[in-house]
Amino acid sequence: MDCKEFQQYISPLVDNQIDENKRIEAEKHLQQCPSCFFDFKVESIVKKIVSFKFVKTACPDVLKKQIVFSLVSQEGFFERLLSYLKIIFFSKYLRLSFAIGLILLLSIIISNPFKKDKEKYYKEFASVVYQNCRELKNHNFPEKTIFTTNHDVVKKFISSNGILTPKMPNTDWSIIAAGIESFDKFHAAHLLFQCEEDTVYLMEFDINKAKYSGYLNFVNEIYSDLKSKKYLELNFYDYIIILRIEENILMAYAINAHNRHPHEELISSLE
Amino acid sequence: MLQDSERITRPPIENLDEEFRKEALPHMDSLYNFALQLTQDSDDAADLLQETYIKAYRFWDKFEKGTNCKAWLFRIMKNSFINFYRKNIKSPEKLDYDEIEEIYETIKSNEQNPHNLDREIFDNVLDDEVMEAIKSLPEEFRTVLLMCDIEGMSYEEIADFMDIPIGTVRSRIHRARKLLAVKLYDYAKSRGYNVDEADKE
Repeated sequence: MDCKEFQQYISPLVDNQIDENKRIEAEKHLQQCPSCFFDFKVESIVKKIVSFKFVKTACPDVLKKQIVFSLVSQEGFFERLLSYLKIIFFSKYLRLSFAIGLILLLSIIISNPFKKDKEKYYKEFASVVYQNCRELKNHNFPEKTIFTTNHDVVKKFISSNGILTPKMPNTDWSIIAAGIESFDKFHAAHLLFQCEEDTVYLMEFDINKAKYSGYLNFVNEIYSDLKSKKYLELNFYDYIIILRIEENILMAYAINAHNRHPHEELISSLE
Repeated sequence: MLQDSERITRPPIENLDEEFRKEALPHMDSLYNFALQLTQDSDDAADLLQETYIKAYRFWDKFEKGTNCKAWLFRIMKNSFINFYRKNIKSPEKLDYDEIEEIYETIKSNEQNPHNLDREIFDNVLDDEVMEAIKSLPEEFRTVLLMCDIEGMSYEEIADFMDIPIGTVRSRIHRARKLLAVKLYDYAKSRGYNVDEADKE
């Protein structure tokens, strides 16, 4: 082993991390070369100094206890949350990102996408009602007309009048148009037919039947929202659409927005 | 799962996973020292230590039983340090290794009898000065040297822990010791050690 090679093995020799063959070679060189012996000696002394004189700082007991406590607390959800928060508030960078996250969260709460969702449901529903009213209008029905999607009613009207009109889009509900004077469930609508003004369109949605249709989501949304209200009023193009729950039936009244009278009558009868 | 009543009456440490308690907790002093060396600040060291233990406890199932737990904990600490603390730390002045090598060669040519060096330097250098000298080392040298001399880790473990080849571990330790030798020699001399007097004895 020459000096150049020996230099590589000084540290392993000092630290006793050298394999047996290399150790014998290195020790042989050590005895022959005073310069390398000096280097070896210096490294040994430095190792000794570091090992003996390095002052180990004991971890303070308070800190040990605090850490053990924080570890035990890991088991509980709130404690875990607390320790996360602690980490967050101890670190500048995390603190910053946490603040950004909080701002984002607040902005989400303020903008409330859920509320928008509900509006979207109503819009969708209103558009269905509107669409049907448009289609029905073209049929030139008699002045006093009820439009209904109630299957029992449909059956009755088919047998008595034989008039079957357009289907609700994407549902299996048919819409029937028939001229009737009174029907128990429709007394509110019936009241309106006494008015001199234009036709009020009424549609019924059986909530239970909606379960099997593609409209389940929005009917559910509207239903849960309407349960706590007497009625809900929506403006949709030239129609005012009033939604209301009556004995598990979702009623949709569509009134031409220009006809103030039946609108006011309807509202006062619902209130 | 412990009952709530049990949890209250038992000291907190009893509630920790038993293996974690036996394997990981005893290394707290070593890790605290390592944290101090990394951060050079006792508050940062305390935070780093706490963070390390919280992470270790959370990922305890990832620890391969039977392997070196201390090395595992050191690795967690090093990674946490790199992620969150390093940016705050002022690195010590860059050392010109060639210059140190020159000084070392001068000392080498002045000191005729290496057998005396032991007493001359070892006895004349103070603990504070040793700490100061170690602190002045560049971080990558300091870490490797302390892992070796203070924590007693093998070169292989250090290489694994630092993600560097074993040859780099060797050369870093070698260089670190040379740097320290020059510093410590300087301190020993300034503390009144006199080459001539020592020769007379």
